[in-house]
Amino acid sequence: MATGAGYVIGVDIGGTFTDCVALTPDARLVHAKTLSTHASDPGEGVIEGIRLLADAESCSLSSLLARTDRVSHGATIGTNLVVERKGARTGLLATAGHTDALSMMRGSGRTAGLPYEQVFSVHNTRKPEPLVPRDCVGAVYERIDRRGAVIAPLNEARARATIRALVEGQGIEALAICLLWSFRNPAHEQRLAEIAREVSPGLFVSLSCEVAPQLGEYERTVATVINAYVGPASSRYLRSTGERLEREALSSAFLVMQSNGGVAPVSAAERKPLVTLDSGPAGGLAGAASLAKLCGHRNVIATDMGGTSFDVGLVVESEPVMAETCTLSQYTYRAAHLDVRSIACGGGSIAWVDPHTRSLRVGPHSAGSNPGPVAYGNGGRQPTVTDADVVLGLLRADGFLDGRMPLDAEGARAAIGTLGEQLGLSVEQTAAGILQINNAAAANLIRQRTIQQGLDPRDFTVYAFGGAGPVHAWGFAQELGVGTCVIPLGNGASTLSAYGIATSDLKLLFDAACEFNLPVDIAALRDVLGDLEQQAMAEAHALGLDPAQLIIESTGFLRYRGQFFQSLALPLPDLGSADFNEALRASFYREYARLYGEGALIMLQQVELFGVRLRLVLPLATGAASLERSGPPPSPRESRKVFWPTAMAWLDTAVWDGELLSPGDALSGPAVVELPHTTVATAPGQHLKVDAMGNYVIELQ
Amino acid sequence: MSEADPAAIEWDGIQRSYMPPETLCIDPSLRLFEARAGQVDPITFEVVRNALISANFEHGALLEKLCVSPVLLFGRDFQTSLLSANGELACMGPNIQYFGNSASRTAQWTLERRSANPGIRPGDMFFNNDAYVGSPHQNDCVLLAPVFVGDELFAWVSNIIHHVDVGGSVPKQHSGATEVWQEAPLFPSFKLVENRVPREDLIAMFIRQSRLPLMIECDLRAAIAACEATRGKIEAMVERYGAQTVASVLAGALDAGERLFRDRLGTIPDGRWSHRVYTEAAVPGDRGVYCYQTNITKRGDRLIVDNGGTDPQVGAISLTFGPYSGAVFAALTSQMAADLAGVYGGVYRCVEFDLEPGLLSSPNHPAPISYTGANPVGSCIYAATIAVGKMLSCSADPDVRALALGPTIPHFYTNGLEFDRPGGGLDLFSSLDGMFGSLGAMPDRDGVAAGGHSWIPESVAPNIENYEHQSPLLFLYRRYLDGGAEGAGRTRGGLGVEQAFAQHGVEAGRASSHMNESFAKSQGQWGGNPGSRSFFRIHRGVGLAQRFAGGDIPERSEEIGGSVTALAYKGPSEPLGPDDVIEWATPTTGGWGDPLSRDPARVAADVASGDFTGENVARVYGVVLTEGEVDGEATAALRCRMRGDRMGRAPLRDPAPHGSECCGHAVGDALVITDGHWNCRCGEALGPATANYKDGALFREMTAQQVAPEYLSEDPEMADQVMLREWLCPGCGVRIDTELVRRGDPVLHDVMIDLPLG
Repeated sequence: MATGAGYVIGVDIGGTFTDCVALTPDARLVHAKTLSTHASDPGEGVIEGIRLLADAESCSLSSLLARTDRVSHGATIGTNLVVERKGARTGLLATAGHTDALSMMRGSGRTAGLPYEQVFSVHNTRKPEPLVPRDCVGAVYERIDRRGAVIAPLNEARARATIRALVEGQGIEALAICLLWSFRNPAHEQRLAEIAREVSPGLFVSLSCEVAPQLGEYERTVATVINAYVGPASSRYLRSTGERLEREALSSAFLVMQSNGGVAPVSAAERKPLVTLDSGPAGGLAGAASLAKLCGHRNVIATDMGGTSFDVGLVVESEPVMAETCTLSQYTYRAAHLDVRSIACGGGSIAWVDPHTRSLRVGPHSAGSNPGPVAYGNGGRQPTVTDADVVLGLLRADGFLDGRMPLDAEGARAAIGTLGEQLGLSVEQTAAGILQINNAAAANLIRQRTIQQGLDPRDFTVYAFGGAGPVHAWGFAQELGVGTCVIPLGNGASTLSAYGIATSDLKLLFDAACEFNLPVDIAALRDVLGDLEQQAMAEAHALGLDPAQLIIESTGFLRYRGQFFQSLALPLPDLGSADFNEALRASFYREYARLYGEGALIMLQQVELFGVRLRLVLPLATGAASLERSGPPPSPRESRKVFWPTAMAWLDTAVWDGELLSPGDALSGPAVVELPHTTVATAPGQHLKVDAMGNYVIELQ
Repeated sequence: MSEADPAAIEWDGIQRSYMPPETLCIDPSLRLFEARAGQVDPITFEVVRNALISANFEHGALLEKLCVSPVLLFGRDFQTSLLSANGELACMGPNIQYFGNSASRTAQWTLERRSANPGIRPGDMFFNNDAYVGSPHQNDCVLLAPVFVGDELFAWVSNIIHHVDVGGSVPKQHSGATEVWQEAPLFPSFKLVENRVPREDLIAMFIRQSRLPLMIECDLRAAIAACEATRGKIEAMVERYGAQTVASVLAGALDAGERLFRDRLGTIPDGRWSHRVYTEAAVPGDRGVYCYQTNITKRGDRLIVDNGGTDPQVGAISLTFGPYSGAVFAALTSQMAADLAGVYGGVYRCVEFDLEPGLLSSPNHPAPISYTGANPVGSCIYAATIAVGKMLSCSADPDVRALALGPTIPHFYTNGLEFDRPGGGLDLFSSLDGMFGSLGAMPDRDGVAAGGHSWIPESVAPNIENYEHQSPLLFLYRRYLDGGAEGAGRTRGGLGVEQAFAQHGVEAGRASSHMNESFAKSQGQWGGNPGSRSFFRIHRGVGLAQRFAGGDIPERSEEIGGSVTALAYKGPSEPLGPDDVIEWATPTTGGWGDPLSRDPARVAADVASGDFTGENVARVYGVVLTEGEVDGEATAALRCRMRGDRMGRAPLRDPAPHGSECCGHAVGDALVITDGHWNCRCGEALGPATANYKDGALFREMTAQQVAPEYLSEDPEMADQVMLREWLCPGCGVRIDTELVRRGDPVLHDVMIDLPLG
């Protein structure tokens, strides 16, 4: 994999826009934004975006790609296929007697992953549309027990007939196979895969022992089914886009972003498309983490505020925080991913009056992008957070999206005024209130996340990106009591995810479930890790990676015996060291006490190591982009009145043209910096400075 | 047993369950924070309200992370709540809903009995597992952390968690106790944490009682840690926003809930609605059938709940006021106020209890109560849910009528096994598959198969691999119950779940608790069929290992083979050998409305989706399908004939289509009140509305077993104590409603609406 001095390109396909970023050989950053092309082929948007980058570099697409080291790509195709139920017609093979597990959803499918307010209500909760219809689920006659022993042999003849019936009778395009205890003994699943390929060579086959080798057949089945469900289309897409790039002269690597925060070669993503699901939010957090490393910020709260949601991820001690459980469309599965959590408080969140408390509420309903806020003039009638921004003067009606989208300020004012009348508040008070409530909700989510990590949010730096983040960061960062807030890459804040994708290392994860009580039997653990390492190296070899460049890290998953929802991920001490067990136990107690307090420790209770993970990392060198002073220090473009919720008054506010700001420039609030894709607000008493990479660093009081 | 004059017994938490007086008697040395901010602006209100609810929710999330007991984790067998200084519930989390009143009752008793000595001070925590004070039963331990502002009591943070074993003469709960002394000890509210330091002597005292001391200690320390963390959050909030503001928001949120509830009550005429449910075997070996009844009287914007009609306290099937009132509140809030998302204190304010003492749902000490969670509370939730549903079915507002949730599962079904460890010692297994639940039929929507429970919003059942990982078991299958006559209705009940399993890797074990029902207990609503019967059967001599090795894998009950031992509903511990297979089910819930009124197209869709087997559609729904398509004419003719069979003569006319216009005040599916008279929607008169409409309806009674072959019981003698009564319209033959009732019990006058209608 070339890591020479060429271009590095990152592409992130979002719901509305496809964002592209190029790091140039001379360490500049180039951005481009084009409309996504979901309806036809999302690959078209990718090519178009890269063409725009080439335009910016004044060269042709082919000549840019010929000088490119790698193109890393974040695709939403998998997530969309699931959410819109447009995936492959998928069959499922399960151990006889257990074919209803996917539909039963452990009895929790009606409420899984739904917001807190909704789960109390039977009236407002339903089980999701099935991913596999009941008549596409087939029984396999076999049984393996918890130790991995075969207690009923696989009936191959019946299995072959069942697969044939699914292929020929039901017309399945993909087959998921999940048998009980297959992660302890994969022989039956592997044999079924062979039979399936004999029956139908083109079938996309997904095995639970490969996709999610962990205890818990429901979650394993979901992971395997989703993998199969998105597999064919995702594979077709990646292949065709890769080929198209090759035709345009890309000779080096085409890589795919994964939700675990690393990129992977297309061939790996084709086999296991599950890892690419929800890679967009992971890209944003990865981008924040990568910039934070350059800026020397060890602990970062990465916030992405868009039209419908507010996403929060954390970087602790320079590492993005991961999570293991995902819920997609009410289906729960396990997959390592960067832990990005959302609440419904974006720019489009609707403000309303609760008739019973007679208080102002914001969200969870969103006007989305269609019809969008009242100010968009697309027929939206309900006031939103963005409308409040317009009323307060934070957003300029004729300056939105570089002036390409004039806003209806009068409409916004009227809608918020109507709301205010119900509350006995003025238009400005109501608009300020909407922001305060939204900021408090955002701060609340952040506080939950940091406190769950046993940390104080005030020890973090906030990174605020996404279209609506920079205009609100002054508020929620202040609400949290943090000292510094960064708008990463200035105007690049709206394409941070693409930057993160471009700068992410190649990462492959290999998991194994195990069952060790502390003190661990080191020889046995060595066997487990040895098997994993063999598996990892075989994969690396198949992908053509140079073993000498790879970094291998091992992590253990620990908990008190009996805990189900607990999982502390701790680096494994050196297996050769004499005090391996003491060191592991000590780090478990240290982390447990840090998270839950000394009082939660139970010295007599057994500690268990129930999983291990090998992480294979290929560092992909990325030069830091740095900007140079491009001219004399600018002055504000104009001054306008902004109603600041902190002062509850209209204040004269300097308006700056962000495109004229350069590293070293500084300004003080109240100020608004207008950029083509976003607006950065700096409240009275706050100070903004542009650093060498073009980040806007806001010092709060 | 008590020597005292029954009339002198008070609701004091000692002789009888605690019911707080109008005004709490608190020692003057403890002052309650009573200052309120004049008017909190609507923005601050929302910011603080959201923060308070989040803090309570995070309290639950933290418990989930720290606790180790599987019962607690999967069963969501815990609750967190926030109470105002006087112990009134402000909000609770999406966990077990009938715990909702227990923290309040315990806090109020603690205020009355502990404020003088040992005193309630900042940094303290109180612990209670006395069900006569407020806990649901001994296993459900209430922890209460007072929050102070200066030296004034400001609020309480509370959690309740279920500990698997807290002592007593049998593990876990005692289905055979006749007195409370045979059960785990009751500890009335005591100070467990003093000035933020846990009292190690008292922790030791409590865990010393348990057969699983380590697990109990883990969970108790988790409860203390989570309660302390949450208290810290409330203190920080008070610091930030000011105590008066936070107090005003708490009060304002309760007022808002109260307004919403009173608004909805306002759409319902005054009246009284009743429902009853039966259980069997007050102790193992007993062959009696027992009744719990709940009656809801509405007067203006208040509800009065009584338990008249309930049998006297007997055996191990009583429950105290905390869980009984919690069951009624769960029935009310899940149907009428779920949009308040746990901020239910305002609803509680609108409800009074007027209980007759000495009954199963209002026992006097020393009635045993450890079995509360398994049967009695499920029965009371079920009876209250249907009684409230009947009330909602009388609302003038279609949106309020649609809030009824239909029949819930009438017990919480579980089973318990013990295995002898090869090296000595015991492994305990408790099935948590009851968590799959099933949602009953609703007025406008079918129930949900394995849809959980309306009163445990976030319940989750374990994986088979979790079970096999923890216990020496091998599961043959876990599948939906077949769709048959059970739960049939215009809308149908959600399917339950059955499973079969055998021990694996151990030689000997015992089925220590099991529930093999003699009869189905979930009556349908407004004419729907009853739900199914839970069962627990042992197949002996199955030869499973050899059959598995030969590739013969049973997938259904009839394929298991061996000789079947059907057990009594509750019985003594039954030995298990390596060659035995257990078969068990958590049932399908009841249906809503006459099955012969179900839209034939929906019946066809059920068959197509595999939820219902084709051969049953004619018998159960009177639908004729030709190659999967509805034959309209044949269906109409068959349904007419089936209604005629019910009536013993030809119907005079067809029933009115569901949802058709009616002039008058609609009640349930089939009834209308017009000019002070009951009518069927088909136009048939059923007598004055001051009387029971049942007086004017055609009546038919059969044993529950005779309803359909699905209801046949292995214990016909027990089963035949229970009858299904039907009330049919004499005009069209539609089934207006049914009663699943103990033979000989009087007809229930269950819908009494005050006339004239407002």
